[in-house]
Amino acid sequence: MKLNILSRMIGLAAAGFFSAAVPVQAADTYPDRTIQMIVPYAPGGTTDLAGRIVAKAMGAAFGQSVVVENKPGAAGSLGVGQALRSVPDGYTMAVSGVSSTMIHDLLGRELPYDPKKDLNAVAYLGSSGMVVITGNNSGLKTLADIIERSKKEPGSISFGSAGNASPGHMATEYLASMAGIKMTHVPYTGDSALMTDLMSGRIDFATVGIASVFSHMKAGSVRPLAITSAERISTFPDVPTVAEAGDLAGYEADIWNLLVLPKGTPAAVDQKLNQTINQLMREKGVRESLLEIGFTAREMDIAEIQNFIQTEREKWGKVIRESNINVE
Amino acid sequence: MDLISNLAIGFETALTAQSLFYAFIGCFLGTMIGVLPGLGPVATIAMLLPITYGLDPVSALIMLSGIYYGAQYGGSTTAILINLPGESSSVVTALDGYQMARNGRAGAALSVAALGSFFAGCVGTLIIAAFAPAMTSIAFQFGPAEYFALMLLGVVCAVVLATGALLKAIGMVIIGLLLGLGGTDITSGVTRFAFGIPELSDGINFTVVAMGVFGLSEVIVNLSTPQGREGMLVNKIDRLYPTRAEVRESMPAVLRGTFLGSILGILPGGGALLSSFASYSLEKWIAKDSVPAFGRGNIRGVAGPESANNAGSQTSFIPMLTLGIPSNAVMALMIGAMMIQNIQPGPQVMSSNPQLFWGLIASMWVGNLMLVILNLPLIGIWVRLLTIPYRLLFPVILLFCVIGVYSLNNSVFDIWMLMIFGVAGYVFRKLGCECAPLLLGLILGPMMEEYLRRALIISRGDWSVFLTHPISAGLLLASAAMIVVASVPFISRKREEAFVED
Amino acid sequence: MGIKSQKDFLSGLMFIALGMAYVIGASSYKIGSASNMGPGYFPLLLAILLTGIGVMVTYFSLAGEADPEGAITDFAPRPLIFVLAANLVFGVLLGGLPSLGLPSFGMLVAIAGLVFVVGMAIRPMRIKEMVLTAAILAVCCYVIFHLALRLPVPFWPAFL
Repeated sequence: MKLNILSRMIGLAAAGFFSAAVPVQAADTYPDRTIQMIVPYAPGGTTDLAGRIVAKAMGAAFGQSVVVENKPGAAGSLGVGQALRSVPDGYTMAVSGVSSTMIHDLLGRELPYDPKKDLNAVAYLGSSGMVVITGNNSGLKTLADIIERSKKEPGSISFGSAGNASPGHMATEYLASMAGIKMTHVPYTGDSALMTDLMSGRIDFATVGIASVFSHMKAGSVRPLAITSAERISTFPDVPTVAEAGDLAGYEADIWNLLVLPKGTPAAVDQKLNQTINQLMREKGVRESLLEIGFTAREMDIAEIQNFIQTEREKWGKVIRESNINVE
Repeated sequence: MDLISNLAIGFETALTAQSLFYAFIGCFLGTMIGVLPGLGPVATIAMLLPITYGLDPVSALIMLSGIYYGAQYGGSTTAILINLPGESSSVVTALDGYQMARNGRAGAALSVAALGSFFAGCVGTLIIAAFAPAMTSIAFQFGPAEYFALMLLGVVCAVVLATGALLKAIGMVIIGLLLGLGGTDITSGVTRFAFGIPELSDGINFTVVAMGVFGLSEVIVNLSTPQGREGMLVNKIDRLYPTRAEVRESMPAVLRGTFLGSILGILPGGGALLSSFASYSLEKWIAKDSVPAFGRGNIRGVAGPESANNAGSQTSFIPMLTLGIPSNAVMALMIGAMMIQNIQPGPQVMSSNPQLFWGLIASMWVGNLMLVILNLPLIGIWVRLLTIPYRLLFPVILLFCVIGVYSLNNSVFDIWMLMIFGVAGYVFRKLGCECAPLLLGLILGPMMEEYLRRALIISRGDWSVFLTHPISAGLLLASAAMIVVASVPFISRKREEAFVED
Repeated sequence: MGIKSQKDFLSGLMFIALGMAYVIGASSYKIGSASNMGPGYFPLLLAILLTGIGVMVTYFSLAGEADPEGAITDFAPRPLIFVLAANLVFGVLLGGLPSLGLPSFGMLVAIAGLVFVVGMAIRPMRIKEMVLTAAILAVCCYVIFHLALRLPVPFWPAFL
């Protein structure tokens, strides 16, 4: 009798072993269990909020719960790495931003995955611009002031960003290389960490995510000089784009998020996720929730996403080569 | 008289049945997770964030802040009972609190911690209500140079608070600083001392080190003696509450701690972290010759730091409420929660959502009261837990440690790190090296370097900024003075020894 | 000249060893200058300081008569080894070893593993007590971490 139970348990274990190793999954029944969405940053940030908005809507659309798991670490690459090394059955996915999708790789950082080979991007989750801001007491009233003064005295102007090779740093170096100027970078540990130094004038300006300074802009405690996106934003129509204010035609720098899965996921699952999320991006509720945290929704099919990654990669690769962003 | 009418609005909001309910839930959850080491308020709030989507903004924030200060209360419980500081602020509490527990005074330590925290919480709340906008300017006075000087003072405090040899304490603080520097360098983006392991690229987690060098090594030490293995942590329980003499000793310490904590809490760049260390050093300096000595179960070593820590956690709401600048990870989450509720956090909250602003403040006071009511009866239960034979208790403590560190990142890697620091802690103990300075160094290492280098980038490499800024110069002077005061007995003892040898 | 304090002597050596290791480690990063610090500057400075402190601690530990307070006593390898082994077992059972194809057994099995291994640190072993402790802890953890707090931890073996 005892032996019988034991052998059954072993059989069960073995069966479990093999079924876990072979990800056969009919796409028409997908998803039939809980989906895990990894957000590679600490909770409360804009990526986390965006991920949660999409996860909630996805859960409703699929009739299966989509659980968000925060797995912060190594500036986003730990969580993305975990998703990309999981079983490619469509039940583990991650939100991947600019840094984990390409910047880390372009800088030659050590990563737990190869973005060029392992990354299977299936949906575009929206983009958000950044904003160039100064303190209210600053003598710099426009972006042109900054460029002009930096031309006269290279390096005299200091700017803050959320960290070395953060989107804000990259966007400003991109600006500097287009305008042919040199400025001093002061790295911080996040957008909000630099606010007191900015407001009290210790640093001249900062380039940060719009969502993180939205309330300060509304309250008038900081002065927005320019938006890094290609177009002005509806909430602050008076703030020019960097391209306009700095006379830098073609300038555009955005933060964006992609939904990524491991390579080897059945193509039908990829397609289903892409179509479902594009559908969600058309829904008013999701669009508006994303807009509240500063993200503009946009629909892209998988081929468009691949092209998009290619163009962005070329752009940031060029910025990194031309400016002095490096990690030795 | 705005204050009174504002507070009236606040209490009207905070005393509704619904608000009271969520404040209670928050405090209860906070105490629970504070007692479970590893699972800190950040992780809990993160997990509960989705639940708050469905609540109205006032209830959501009341609950989240309840979790935050509830966890501060609960964190000291394990530090006192089983030498397991789960939060950086409870490291100091463990020094004398655990010794008190070993002497059978766990009840007194816990109740002084609770009452001191309650007093500090009341004062902190009042300060927020009355002076929040005025005190905001203090935050602006602190730039990188000032923060560096403050951190340096903190390191000096850590050395002074060590009970044993000064040189060894300096050595331990430096080891802590060096360990803290591992991971991605903020200024250059280079990953240091990570040996190509991605998990190390964010540095070594404080909780892992604290549980290893305090918790795990304590278990090993206790298991190595027969009475440790078979006996109980305490054989006798004295009366649960502090004696009159203990109350008399604690009172001034509570007052000083509250004052220090209130000021340091306002600094968003890491001031609140230092408050308990600063208070401990201050108490040790003021009551040099009190009995029992600091580190042997002196009640002031519990009363001061616990009050400082709680006052600091209250006033650390000020930068968030008046400026929209989070001073720690929990505050950042609260801002996230506000944004989900479609409230733009920042300077305008006070005028645009007076109910939320004043309701939150009033609920902090209500929450503090609830915590005392919730915690005082629990003390009896906690203390009785110590009379369980150790052979039954230690697997539980060990499990606490491993689950705690695992839950930090849901990663087994942290369990391996816990083992390494458990061994390290055991070795340090056997060599008579204290671990508290190491832990403070670990917290301060990356911050010190960050502020130092940022100050120099902004000054374009000019070191004189540290002396030309008055606050920074004052803090550096204070550090220098403390070093001199601390090393005088050391030098004179050496000289005495030298004479004896002659 | 004898060793006055074994503890101080070995602490000093430990400081020196750690200091030297960090000196070597920090030198592999860009050092920079006092006005333009590289990532290696601050660690190098601290490492040199630590080595210096180590030399001083060692030096002072040598002078004088052997001090009984400075002797290292009660070194207990048994609890050390079993506590570490319990950690190891818990980690392996909880996380599995993907490189060896060992699946995760989940937290409930891991708790039992931890309790049994660490129980071996004590003689005589009390099997009944260990079974009971493991069972109670497993139930408590399941209620607290899974039902109440909903931690995303695998509780059951991955292959069931």
